[in-house]
Amino acid sequence: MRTDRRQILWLLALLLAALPLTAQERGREIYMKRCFWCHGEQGRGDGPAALGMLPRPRDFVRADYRIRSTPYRQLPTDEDLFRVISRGLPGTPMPGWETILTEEERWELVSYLQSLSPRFQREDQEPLTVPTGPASVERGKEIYRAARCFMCHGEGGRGDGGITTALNFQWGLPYWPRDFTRGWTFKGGHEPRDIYLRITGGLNGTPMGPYQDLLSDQERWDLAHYVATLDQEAEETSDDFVVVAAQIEGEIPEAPDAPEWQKAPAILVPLAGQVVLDPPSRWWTPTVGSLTVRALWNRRSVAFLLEWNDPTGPESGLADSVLLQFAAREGSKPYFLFGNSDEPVKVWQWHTGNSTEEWTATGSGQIESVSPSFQVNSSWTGGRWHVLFRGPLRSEPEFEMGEFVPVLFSVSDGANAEFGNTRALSTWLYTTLQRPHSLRPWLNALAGFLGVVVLQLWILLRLRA
Amino acid sequence: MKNFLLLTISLAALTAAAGQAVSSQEPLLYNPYERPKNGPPLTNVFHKVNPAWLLKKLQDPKHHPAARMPNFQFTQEEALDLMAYLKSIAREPGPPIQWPDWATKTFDEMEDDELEAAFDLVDRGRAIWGNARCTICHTVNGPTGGLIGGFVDLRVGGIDLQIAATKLNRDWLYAWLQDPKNYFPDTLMPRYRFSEADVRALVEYILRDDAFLPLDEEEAEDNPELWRELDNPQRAARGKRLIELSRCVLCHDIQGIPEVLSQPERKPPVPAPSFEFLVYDLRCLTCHSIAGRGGTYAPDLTGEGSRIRKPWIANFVQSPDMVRPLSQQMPKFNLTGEEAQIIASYINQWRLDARIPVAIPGGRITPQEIRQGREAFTSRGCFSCHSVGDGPGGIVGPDLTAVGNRLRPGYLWFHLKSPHAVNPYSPEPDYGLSDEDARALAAYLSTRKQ
Repeated sequence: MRTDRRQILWLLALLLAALPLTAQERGREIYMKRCFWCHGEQGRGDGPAALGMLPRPRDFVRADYRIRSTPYRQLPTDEDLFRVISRGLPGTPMPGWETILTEEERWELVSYLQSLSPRFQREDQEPLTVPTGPASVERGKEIYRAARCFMCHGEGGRGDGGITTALNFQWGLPYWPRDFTRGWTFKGGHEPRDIYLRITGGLNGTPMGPYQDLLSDQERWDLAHYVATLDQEAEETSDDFVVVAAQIEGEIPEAPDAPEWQKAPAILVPLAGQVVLDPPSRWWTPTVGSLTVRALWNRRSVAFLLEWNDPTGPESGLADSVLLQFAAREGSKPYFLFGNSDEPVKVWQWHTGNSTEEWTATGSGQIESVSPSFQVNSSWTGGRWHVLFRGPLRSEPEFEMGEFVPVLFSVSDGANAEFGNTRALSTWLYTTLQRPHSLRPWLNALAGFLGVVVLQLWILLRLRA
Repeated sequence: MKNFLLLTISLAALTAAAGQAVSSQEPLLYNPYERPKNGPPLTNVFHKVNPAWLLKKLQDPKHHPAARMPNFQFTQEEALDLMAYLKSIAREPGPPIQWPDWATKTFDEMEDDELEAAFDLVDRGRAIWGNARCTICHTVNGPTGGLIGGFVDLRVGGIDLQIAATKLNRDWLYAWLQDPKNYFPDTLMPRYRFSEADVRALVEYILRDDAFLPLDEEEAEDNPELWRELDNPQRAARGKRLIELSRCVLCHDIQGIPEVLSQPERKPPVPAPSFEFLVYDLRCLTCHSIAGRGGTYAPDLTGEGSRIRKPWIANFVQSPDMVRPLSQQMPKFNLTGEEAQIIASYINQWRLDARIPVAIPGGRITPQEIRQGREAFTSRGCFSCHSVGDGPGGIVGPDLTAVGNRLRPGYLWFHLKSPHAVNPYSPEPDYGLSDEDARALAAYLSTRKQ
């Protein structure tokens, strides 16, 4: 009798084991394969890869989800989680899984994530409704002022507001509000609908509280449309890899907003963390993700205007700096880190306070300081650095029409404790001098054509005669 | 059954023993780095500052160069709305403090006898200001301030008092000096045990001395017309919305405004008398550190119990005297004898350094060793930095006349053997003394008592 009972129990256990896994259990398997590396075994955001990430991965146990379509302090809906898993979080290390995981697998992950916080069992979510009617960007601009948005996000939307700098410098609390000019870094998307949801429900666990009760639906809708207009950087620039210097007749203007600069196409240069030699590692968390470069040239000199967003500017703890590195000789593309013994590089560097350095280098241990051959002008306005380098045309490197000189850019942000090799770096690009627009080729062609006509006439006349 | 009974009894005994152990557990100290908000609470700010000052502050926070508040670009109308809300939430003021008749007059308006009374109080206040070492944290105008305040981390403390005289309300200042935590529980200001007469003298000194007047003579104007508008409920409602929009609660506690960031749980105060209470009430960890937590302005107390004798600690915290003439003196908090004993007992029981022996190693000290020590003290030139009794001596190191009352013999020996073990920056040179010499010197010094 006793043995019978035990046998039944065994049988039951076997049956349970043979049953298909629940969605949550399958989600756990996917999680341990795909998500654990950053979000950690317990979902605490402390996986082995988390250390080098800015922002740090979400802690699923604390469940302070930022990107939601629900009111402040509420949990995200199932669809919110699904959307983030599918599309990822732009501007962060979180990739989209749409192409790697099937739709079913992504839903299983949602179900597993929800099992990590007991709040999902207890609490309901009521998604916000989003208006669809017309909006006024003009009114939105007024609301941006009246609702004091600029105190964190800055007057021009570059995240350089007074609260931001006070929290960072007077109190040592690094809160970085979103830079509205760089729409591709909006974690929850940069459509007015996405922005409306962020404004209305706030971002849990950050100083960005909700505006649901402070502004009307229409006001928030107007504001979302205004904020969407600030996202211009990608539109006003191109991602070409050749920096074409436009030719001008007169002097190169010192002001970054001088009309001459509009002649030069603006190139958006992406930057990434630099390799650090000592200790051997890599700088994983640079704060400057891109810079914009324009170039002009005249008879004597060539000029590069480098601009990048930096909410803290000259107030940073350490000095900010930017450098240009050129291949010093024609026809070579040296090793990206200070060149190599056969292929030297030339470096122009600027630091906050307009101190400059120029180096010739043939490798990272072979750097020779020379007296700077270039001049700089710099200014910091509206959360953006504008640094203008003017160098000689005929020197090292030699800039010539039709020649392509390899160039790379690198920025260090003092507010992020970056200095030395701890900085953000681009890959090699090229710069070249634009050939002048002149009528001469046309005139030559015309002269040639006329010459032929005259010659033919002359031959005809001769033949008749 | 018998086994079960035995088990129950032994479990009960164990629990009782554990209960005992809990009562003699090391006191838990407050976390000196945990401060929920950066700015002061604004709920009762109307009792603290005069409205003219507040109106100016809201419109131009950077008027004072040390101010940390960003400029919100509030117009005068908006500033008045904010003030109306702050006024509406301020609690009923306590009973007014009785001041002498001349309290509202300036020096110029006073009669001769009033002037004499006022000067007496201001002078007394200045003496208390010095004894309480207020300048360790506060910078003021004039010869006393500005230097020392710079050493204290701005985030930890040190409000510039240069404008106190034109900013603060008399009754508020009186209550603040008596118990700062009553107004601002998270303040870093210690609660000095001032007598009522001390407080009155300090109030008079802070409100009347030149050191507390603004550098520019431009004074905020009193405007009773404007202040009448502050009772307008519509203004208060607009002010409340503006406070929410401006996210003032990120830095300030303001009643009636929902929080944005989650706040750490505020623990109930530890009941007095206990070391937990005293260390929080006096904010010891602003300057001292214990077990890696706290400030670096004053000596680290982690192993203090192995170094300093208990009676000396009790005496010192009650009436701090200069140990090192070239560095700062600890403030005088006017502690009671009981409070001083609690502090000394804690240090004596819990702040021990396992490296430091209790007694001088090597058995009983002989009178001959003491004599040898005295000779070594002279022959090795110790007096070039230290003085003993009336003899010649330097002031770089502490006066050793009564060092036997202060330091434990085992520590004297340990410190002579390895002067940089406890404080790596100690100016005491490492002479590489032999065991014999160190024993003799320690023996001699431990007999230096008064």
